Amino acid sequence: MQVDQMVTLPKELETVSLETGAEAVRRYAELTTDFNPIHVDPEFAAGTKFGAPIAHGTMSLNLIVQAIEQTFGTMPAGLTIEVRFVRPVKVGATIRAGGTLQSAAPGTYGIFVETQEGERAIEGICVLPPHERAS
Amino acid sequence: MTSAPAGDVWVFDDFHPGARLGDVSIPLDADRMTHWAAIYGKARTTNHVPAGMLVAAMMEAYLTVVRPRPPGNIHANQKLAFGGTAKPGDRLEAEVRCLNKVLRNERRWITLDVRLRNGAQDVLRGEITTIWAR
Repeated sequence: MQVDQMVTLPKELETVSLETGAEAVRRYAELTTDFNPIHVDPEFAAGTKFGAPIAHGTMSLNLIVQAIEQTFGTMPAGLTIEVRFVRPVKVGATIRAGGTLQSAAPGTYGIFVETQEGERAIEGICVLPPHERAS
Repeated sequence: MTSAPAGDVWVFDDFHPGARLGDVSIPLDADRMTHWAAIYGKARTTNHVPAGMLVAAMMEAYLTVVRPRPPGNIHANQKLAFGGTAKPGDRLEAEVRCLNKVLRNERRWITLDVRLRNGAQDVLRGEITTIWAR
């Protein structure tokens, strides 16, 4: 599906949030088959440098994907995302994802996931395909 | 088809840029939809698979093909290119390749390319860059 190319791009992506509780993380482990104990085993995680379980990186990244879908009503074909996982998210943290328009041509958003305390967990950009960009 | 590591787990030396590591088939079945909805909420319509489920399928493909892995790997960077959509019940075909490997500052960087197809359509291409533990 294509977004009307005459539509001006929104300045901000819709913000979405998620509570990364242990049950949600267990579900994400089931979904991806990623049962790394750093995510799901508090005893193991206590002995690591993180000191406690951390959420899967793409569990947080998917919040950005959700923000994009909610903003445009669909995931535009040809959209690209490039991110760095800059800080782990402790299981139980509430996170939010969003983005700010950096350039209308090409349609580029600075995107992020951050904790309630404002600590960035993911940073990067998403670039809309040519037919999605504002004139 | 999946490759296998030379030893007990996949280590840096097992990766060869350009090599096809394996293929896996991932159904977007009711169990996966239920897990997704429990985490992120229900999809907008019953005929819609959220794009994030494609990202989850990309990870499942990588983790299914490249195993066992050493503990301590760090998912550092991620690129995604969306190309299409899927419906509940569709079956995705994934191909996992080694794109690159670099030893830099005593860190072992591995980049894998996961290509997800839904029928003839490329729905997602993902580049997973990981700092490999061994």
